[in-house]
Amino acid sequence: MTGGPDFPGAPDPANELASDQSSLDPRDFRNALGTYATGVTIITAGLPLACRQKT
Amino acid sequence: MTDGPDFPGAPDPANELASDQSSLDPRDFRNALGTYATGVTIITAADQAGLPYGLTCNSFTSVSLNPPLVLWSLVVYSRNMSVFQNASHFAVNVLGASQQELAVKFAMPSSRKFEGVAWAPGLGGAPLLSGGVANFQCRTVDRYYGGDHVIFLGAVEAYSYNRDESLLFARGKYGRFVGE
Repeated sequence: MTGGPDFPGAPDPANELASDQSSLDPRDFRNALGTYATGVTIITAGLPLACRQKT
Repeated sequence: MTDGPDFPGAPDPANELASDQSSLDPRDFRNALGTYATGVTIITAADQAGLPYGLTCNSFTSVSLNPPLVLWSLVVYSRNMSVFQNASHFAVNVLGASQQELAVKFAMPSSRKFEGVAWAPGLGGAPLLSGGVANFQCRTVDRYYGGDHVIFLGAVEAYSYNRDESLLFARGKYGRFVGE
């Protein structure tokens, strides 16, 4: 649902959770997660005024 | 939406997030959060004696596809906190549109929640309820304090799902999906 990545960043090697040792199929897992409904948001952000003035 | 508190326990004093310095009204804030629709789950686990525990929860969220991670959160003074803190595994049971009564039943404090409910033990003894649209069997890999809640991070070790209609919750009411 989000925009595609600009670049495929590697997982944080310091994070033991960031392994792909799971035998689960990510696509099928995603379909399973899709059974849980959610609302829809648009997350926004902005730079502090001081940063905007520099650009 | 989860179990009501038995006792008003104080959040972890070591947690800088656990202050009540905010000027926001908690009840109104909760109403605002309720505008965000969710599915409905019953999170289950077994205690050390193998007894089943469960509660209705709509804070379930997917975190990562690979590795497969999910999270949910529980208010710190829930009567079920110690069970989930100590359980090796929990199960996320995603409810179907026909399971509103089950959602209401597991949202109320009771020692008889599992009476008349069809279930089977999953990984770590966590109950898998019959009749839902999905279940995720998770190993608890971490817990984090988040204000007045504890966030449970789970590594999904097994799951199943079907194409039945899901139960929804928004603005304090249950409902069904009406597609375009």
